[in-house]
Amino acid sequence: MNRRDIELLSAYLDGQLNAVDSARLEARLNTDLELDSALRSLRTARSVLQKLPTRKAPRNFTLTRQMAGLKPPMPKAYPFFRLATVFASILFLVSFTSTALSSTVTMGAAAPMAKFSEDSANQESADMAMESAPMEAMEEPSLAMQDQSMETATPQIVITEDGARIAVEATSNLNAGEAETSKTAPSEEVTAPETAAHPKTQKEAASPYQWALIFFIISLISGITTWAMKISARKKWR
Amino acid sequence: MDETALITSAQQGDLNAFNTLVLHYQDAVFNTAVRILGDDDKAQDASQEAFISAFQSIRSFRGGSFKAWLLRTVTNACLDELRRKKRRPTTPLEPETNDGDEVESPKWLADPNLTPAQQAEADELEHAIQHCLDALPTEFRTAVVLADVQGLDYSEVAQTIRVPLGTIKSRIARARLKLRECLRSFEELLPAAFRLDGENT
Repeated sequence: MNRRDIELLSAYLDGQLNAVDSARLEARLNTDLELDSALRSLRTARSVLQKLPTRKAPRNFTLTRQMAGLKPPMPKAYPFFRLATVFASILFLVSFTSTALSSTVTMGAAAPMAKFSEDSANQESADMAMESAPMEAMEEPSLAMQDQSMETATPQIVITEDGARIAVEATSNLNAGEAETSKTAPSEEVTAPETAAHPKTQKEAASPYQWALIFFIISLISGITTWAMKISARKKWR
Repeated sequence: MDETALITSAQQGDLNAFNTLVLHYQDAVFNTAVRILGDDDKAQDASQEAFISAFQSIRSFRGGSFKAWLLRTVTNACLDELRRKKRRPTTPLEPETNDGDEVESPKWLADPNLTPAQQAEADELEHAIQHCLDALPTEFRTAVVLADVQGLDYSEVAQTIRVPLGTIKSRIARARLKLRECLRSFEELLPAAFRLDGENT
C-alpha cells in the first residue's frame, strides 16, 4: 500500500471517485485486508472529526460602524465648504506673505532714498541762502528798470530806490486780486497732489492686507461651518 | 434569510445586512478558527479580524459559496496569526500538563446537558482531538478542518485555500492518516462509540 492508495481511499470515503475507480477500489478492498484496515482507520479519523462538538461563538462578531471603517453621511454642501476653506486658506497665506514681502522690500528701498532727498534738500537750501543775497541786490536794479517801463502806465510813482519798492508794492497791491488768485491756484495745485498722494499710497499699501483679511475671514467662516457640519453629522449618526 | 439579497445589500455598504450574515456564519467561522489555532482568545481575534476584512472586501465576492469565501478569509487570518506566533513565540499563562499541553479552561467546554462524568469524558475527547489536530502541519490541519469539521467538498476546500484539487486530496488523506495514528495513543480516552466507529463497521 502506497501514498496513492491512501489518497484513493480518502477520496473514496468522500465520494470523490468516479464509478470506474470506485469499482476497481472496491474489488481490491475485497481481497486486500491491509487496504481494508487502512480504509477503516481513515473512516474513524473522519468520524471523530465530524462528531467533534461544534463550538459556539462566545460572543457576537457583528461589526460597529467604526470597526467597519464607515464614515457618517455628510450634507451635500460639506465638500463645497471644505474646498472653500482650503482655497481661502491658501489665498490668505499667499496674499499675506506677498504683502509682507513687498512691504519689506519697499521699506528697504525707501530708506536710502529718503536720506538722499533729505541731504539734497539741505544742500539746496544752503545754496539758496548763499545765492539769495547778491541776487536780491541784482534784482533790485532790474526791478527798478521794470518800474521805469511801468512809469508810463503809473506816472505818479517816483523813481527812487524806495519809490521803486513802493511801486512794486503798489502794483502788487493792485494786482493783489489777480496775484492772489494766480498764486493760490498753483499752490492749491501743488498742495492738492501732495495731499492726494498720501491716501493713494496708503490705499495701495492697505489693499493687499485687506484681501488677506477677507480671505482669512472666509476661511474661518467656512472652516467653522465644515466643523459644525461634521459634528452634527456624527451626532445624527449615533 | 435571503442570502443573495443580503450579500448584494452588504456590497452596497449596508452594514446591517452584513451583520445579519455575520450572525448566521459566526459559529462556523469561530469553530474553524479555534480548530486551526487551538486557542480560544486567538480564535476570537482571528474571527473578528476575518469579518472586518470580509466587509471591506465584500465587493470582490463574485458569487459561489459565501460560506467558503468567508472561511477563506478566516483561514487567512489564522495563517497570519500562526506566522506571527512562529516569529514571536510566547509562553502561555495557563497551567500545563506533564506533556506540555495547556490545561483548557473548563468554562468554554461546559455543556449543561451532560453529567459531570460525561462532561469530563467529552472534555478529554475534545482535548485529545485538538491535541492531534495541533500536531498536524498547518496546511494539513487547515485542509482537514475545512473538509471534515466544516463539511466543505474538495472543490470548495481548494477554492478556500487556493491550491489545486489534487493537492487537497493528498493533504486530506495524509492528515486523516496522521490523525488516526495520533488518536491511537488516546485509544483508552476515546468513548466506545468512537473506538468502534469506522474500524469495526
